[in-house]
Parts: sequence; C-alpha cells; structure tokens
Amino acid sequence: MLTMLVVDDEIYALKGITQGIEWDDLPISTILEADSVRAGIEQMGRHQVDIVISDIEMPGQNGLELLRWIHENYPDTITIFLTGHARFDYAREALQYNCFDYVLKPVDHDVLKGIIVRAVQEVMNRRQRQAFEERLEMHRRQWANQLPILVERFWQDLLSERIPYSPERLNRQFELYDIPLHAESSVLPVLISIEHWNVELNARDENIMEYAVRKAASEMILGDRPGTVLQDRGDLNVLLVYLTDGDAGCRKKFLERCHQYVMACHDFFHCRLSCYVGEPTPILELGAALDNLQQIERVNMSSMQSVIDIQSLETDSEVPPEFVLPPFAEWEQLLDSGRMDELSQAVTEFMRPFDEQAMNRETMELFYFGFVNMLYQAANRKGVSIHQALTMSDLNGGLASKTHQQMLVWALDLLDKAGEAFQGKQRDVSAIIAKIKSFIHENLHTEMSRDDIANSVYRNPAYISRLFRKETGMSLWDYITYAKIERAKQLLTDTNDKISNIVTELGYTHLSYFARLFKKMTGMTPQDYRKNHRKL
Amino acid sequence: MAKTFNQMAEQIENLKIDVYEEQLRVQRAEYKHLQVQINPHFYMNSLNIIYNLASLKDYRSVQKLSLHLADYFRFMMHSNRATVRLSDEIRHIEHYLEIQKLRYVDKLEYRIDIQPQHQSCEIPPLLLQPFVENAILHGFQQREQDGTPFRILVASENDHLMPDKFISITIRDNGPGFPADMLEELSNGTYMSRSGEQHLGVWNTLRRYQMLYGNEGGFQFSNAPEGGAVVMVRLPISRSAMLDHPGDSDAGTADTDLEDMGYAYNARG
Repeated sequence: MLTMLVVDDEIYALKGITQGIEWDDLPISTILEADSVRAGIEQMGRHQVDIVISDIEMPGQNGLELLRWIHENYPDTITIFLTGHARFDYAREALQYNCFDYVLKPVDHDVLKGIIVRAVQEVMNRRQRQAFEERLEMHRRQWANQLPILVERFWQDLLSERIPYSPERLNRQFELYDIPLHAESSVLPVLISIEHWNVELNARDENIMEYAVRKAASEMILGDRPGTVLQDRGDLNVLLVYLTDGDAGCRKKFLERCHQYVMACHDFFHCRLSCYVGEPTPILELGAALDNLQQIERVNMSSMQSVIDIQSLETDSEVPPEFVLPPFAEWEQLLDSGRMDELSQAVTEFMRPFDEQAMNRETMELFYFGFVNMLYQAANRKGVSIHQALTMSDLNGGLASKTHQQMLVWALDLLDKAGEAFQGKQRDVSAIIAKIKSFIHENLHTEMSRDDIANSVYRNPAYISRLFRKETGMSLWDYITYAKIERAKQLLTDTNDKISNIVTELGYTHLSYFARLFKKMTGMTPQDYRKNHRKL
Repeated sequence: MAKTFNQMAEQIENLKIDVYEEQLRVQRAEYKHLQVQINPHFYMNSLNIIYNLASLKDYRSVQKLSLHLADYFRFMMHSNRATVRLSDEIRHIEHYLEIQKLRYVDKLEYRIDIQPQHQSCEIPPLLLQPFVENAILHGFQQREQDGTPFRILVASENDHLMPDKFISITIRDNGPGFPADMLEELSNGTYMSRSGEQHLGVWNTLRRYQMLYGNEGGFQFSNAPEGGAVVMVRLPISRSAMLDHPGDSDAGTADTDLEDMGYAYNARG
C-alpha cells in the first residue's frame, strides 16, 4: 500500500483533493496533508511517502522549493505539481527536477485521479524492479558463495553416476559452474588414501583434518593448474586435474609433487597417506577409473605412504596383463534390483575364460573380497542382516578355494542364500564390522594400531577406517576407547584387581592418562566408580 | 504681426501637444485601471475554490462565494464612475476579503472600523481596495508562516489637523512591511516616475488620485514600529462632492448604479 502527501496552503483546495476525490479504489492506504512546504517536509521525515501532490504558489517557501528538496532527498518519490500560472519557467524547473506531471488549476479531479493512477502504476513498477534487482543481487551473492559446494556436488553426482549425462548437458553444467572443461576433455584422477592418523582423533576431528588434507592437496598438487579436490559420496578423497587442452604435462614432475605432498602431510598433519595416480581419463569414464584406483587401493597392503602410479603398475609384472577386474558395479545393480538369475549367469560368464587359463592368486583374492564386499554393501543398502542367511564359514569358504570352479560354486551358493535373505527385512551390521569389533574386544590388552585391525580382516587400513565410520558412525579410535572404558568398568566392579593392573591390562602405559580419559567418559574417577558400583 | 502669429501658432501647437499628452496619460491610466479590474489570478483562484468546495459538497460555501463574487464583479463593472460613497467602497473591500477568507479560512483575519459620519463621504471608486489587495498579495504571501493569522485593519478617523476638511483612512497589516527601497522611492516621488509595471494597483491609484485631487491630502506609506505595512490617506471632504466628472462620463448613470447596488445589498441582507 502507498502513502500520498498533498500540500496546499488553501484548506478547501487541500480537502478538495484529499476528501473530494474517491481514492478508495486505489492502493493508497495513507493520505497525508500539509498546508505549507515546511509542514510537507516534516511529514516526509515522519512517513515514507510515495507520491506528492503540491501547489506551487504558497506563502513562505513555494512548491518548487519543495520539489527541489524532494529531488535531493527522496529521488524515488513521485511528484505532481499544481499551479494557477501557465508559466514556462515553472514548467521548465518542474521538468528539471523530474516532476511526474504538471497541471493547471483548477484541475479537473478526474484528470488528477487519472494522473495518480499512472503514478501508482509507476511506483508499483519501480518497486517491482527494485525487488527484482535485490533478489537478483542476493542470488548472485549466494551463487558466488556456494559455487565451490555446487562444483563439489556436481562431481559427486557425476562420480556416483546417479544422473546420466549427455555431452550437451555436461557442457551446460561446465559452463554453469565455471569449470574450464568440455564433454570431450580428459581429467587426471588421483585417489588420496588416508591410511593412518599418528594422533588420536574422534570422528569430528577426523572430518576436519581430512578437509585440511584436501585443502593441502589443492595447494600443493594442483597449485596453479585447474582442477578440484573433493570428497565423493563414499568418503573417497579425490583430486581431479582438469586437462583443459588435453595436455597432461610432465608426469614425472606431477608424481614428484604428489610425493612432496605425501611427505608434507606426514610432517604437518601427522597423517600417513598414499596417492594413487590414475591416467588421463575421459570425463564420462571417471567413475570406472576411480573404481579401478580403489581396487588397487584395496589390495595394496605392502607400499604405505607412497605415490602409486597406475601406469607403472600396469607395466609391472606384479599384476599380470590378463588381470581382469570383475564388473562389480554392474553386478551391484543386478543385485540391488533383485535380478538374481541374471547375476548368477553374469558371474558364470565371467568365470568362463578361466577354463582355459587358470585364475591367479591375486585375481582370486580380488574376486573374493570384491564379491563379499558387494554382498555386504547390497545388504547394507537394503537394511538386511546377512548373518541370517550366511555364516562366517559360508563367507570364509571362498578363501579356501583353490580353483576358479570352486570359487564359482562358492559364489553361486552365496548368491542363493543372500538372495533369500534379501527377501526379508532385518537389520544388522556387516560381517567385517562385526569381525573388526570382535578383534578389538579380543585385543583390548594391546595397543592396537589401525594396521593391526586392517590385517585381521585382510583389508587396506584406509578402506577399513572409512568403512567402519560409515557403518557405525564412530571412528575406530572412538570405538577402541569406548570398548576399553567398558572393559575397565567391568573389571572395576567385578574384580578386586588394583587399578594400576587394570590399566596395564588395557594396554595403557600411563595411569594418569587413563584416569583422565575415564573421568571424561564416565564423569567420575576409576576409584569413585568402583566405590559406587562394586558388586563384591 | 507675423511674428506674433507665429508665436501664437506655436503656443497652440504646444497646447495641442499637451492636451494630447494628457489624454494619452488618462487613457493609459484607464487602461491600467481596466487591467486591475480583470485580475486573472483572482479569477483562477476563485474558480479553484468553487471547484473544490463543490467536490467537498459544501454547497453553502459555494453559494456564499458565488454571491460575494457577484457583488465584487458588479462593483468592478461600474468602477468607471466618478465617485462612490465610502460605505460602498468598504462593502466592496468586505466582499474581497470574504472571498479571500474562503481561501485562507483561519489564516486570515480582518477588521473594518469606519466612523458612522464618514460612511457617506464620496470617494473615487477603488481608491482603497487596491491597498487591501496589495496587503494580501505581498504582505500575506511573503509572511513567514508562524501559525498566527495574517491581520488587516481598515479604519477611519477625523483628521487631527483639519477635521473639517479631511478624514484619515488607515490600512494596516501585520505582514513583513514595505521593502526599504520601495518606501524610499514612495517618499521622494521617484516611484511615480516609473512605469508602474510592478505594483500596478498602487501605481494606478496614486496616479488617479493625483489627477483628481492634485496636491490636496494624499498618501503616506510607512512600516509600523511593531512590524507590518501602514498606508494612510488624507481625503479632502469638501472637494469630494464638488468633483468634476472627467470627460464624457455622466453623473446620471453613476446615480442609477448606486441605486442598483443599494438594491442588491438590501435584497441580500
């Protein structure tokens, strides 16, 4: 709603306009009156006035002085002037100060109303324009603030292959997010694999530190090169170098920078990590390339804190040329959609070539772990307990396989049982997590490292750590501390052991450190706890 | 003889020129007088008020204003008469001020205080009204708006020095007063030597007064000590009845006009 001010020194002329004209049908909520320029200026100081109708000839300051004042102080206010004098210099001055209209007295009230209708329209238009400008500016700011997040989300979507991308769509998105790439461009992917924190971190701190590690990767590995560092939906830390002109640059120098980065992370972040450097890859094949890097990461249990170049791996004799990675991604989709027969067929098809050439040990292991992992992931997505259908010996059976035929029989058997289990709907944690937990509980008396835990389940430590946090919501360290304190409580209440003995039994070397930790977790000292809860 | 004749012819020539010049002056004065009669701004403002009063459905005020305007214009139509009674001139001023009061309502106040014995004095028409109008146009319009009303007083009294021969009429307001330079020009006579374009009404009135009364009596302009313009006129009483009617204007019509006006007042009262 608008506010209108009418200024006239003659009371009947003033009232004639404010009361003698039907204003109700216009969106004007307030009509103010002033009988002099001074009173008009006062009104404008008190109210936000949109439209002013003013007489020119008035005692004291005249209407043109009011017009000048409004022009200087409230340039958005629309002004309409009335005068008994058809004088050119009045009209010129009124025009000069951006007067909306200029009418001779006595003014036909219908004409005056017509002018106000136009003025109201103009105010509305100006308001709309202004609101639009403000909204646009807000969006511009938001866009600029959120661009990095949006870029990360774009890559996350692309890497998780949630949305099928046509080249046109891809180009549009690159343009939208200001990414200097085309649909045909290539990208060099690097998997940053955090293997171990040399300091104890809870889940939150670990997230923060991983962020710091990614920032450092952006600065040290990318430097001035276009690219991005992000965390994908599976908590993988990924660095992408945009190969805008198709030139990957000197690989040796790039590997050298990766190496410096690995060392720097060790020194500054107390972090042991490795870089798995992929090959220049077309954008639409990035997901597969990262899967490949992850497979390498999963089986890499020998070279920690290093830079692993996929190109040199392939020429190495360690991985035979006939090494074939099972298409787990495709199989997962079949599993998710419950097409068990097709999946069984696909697995059988995959095994067929090995009739002629025996499956080597690495491929067997890869198949085994990949297959079990696939089942667990699928079970987890479905919220189903796999242990209802599969025993630990079922799961371990594959490890004992000596030939691909045995492996195939095992796999098909597992698929049958899993398929049944997926019909039901029960929740449980995955076998690996259960295994890790039982390993932790059995080894509370030692100072467990992440490597020890990873070895117990034959997995890469970085992978294990991610998996554990994803499944349980706790970091390994948080869980170990929790388990140790629970055991301590039990020992304090159920036994008469000296506290120092209990501390040693839990693998802690410093009593004071343990006491502090215990108090932090339980709210009381070990001595108080024993007093309050003792059973014997 | 020839020389005397030539001198005489030259004198006649000069006299003729003087007569023409005098006629021209009279015509110019009349012309300006007419201009005063049809002040377009006064028209416009009045119409504006009528229009707004009508839109406010204040028909009583429209009626009142119409009657005041009718009387005002009727007086103007007959203002080429030689003389009117002072009471008629005063009534004309009242109409004028009532019309202005409809514009300015409580921002304007006036008082008229004429001695009963002066009412029937004969004066040239529009001798006083221009000074009232001048007070409104200049005094009121230029006055700082402080919330108090603008006041005009019109009063008559016996002349202090020669009460038998003159009466004194004073028009006074509480506006900003005359500008110093104008007062200076009015007192030393230079004002009248100008064309009179700026203050048409005042210039014209002074001119007509001079033509009618010569140097008898006259106007005095001053600013009151407490502020405001003061115009005082000393009018010769004895002369007023004996005034010659200039040119071809006839006394007969003047009488009928007076009767007409009297009738109008009676009818309304």
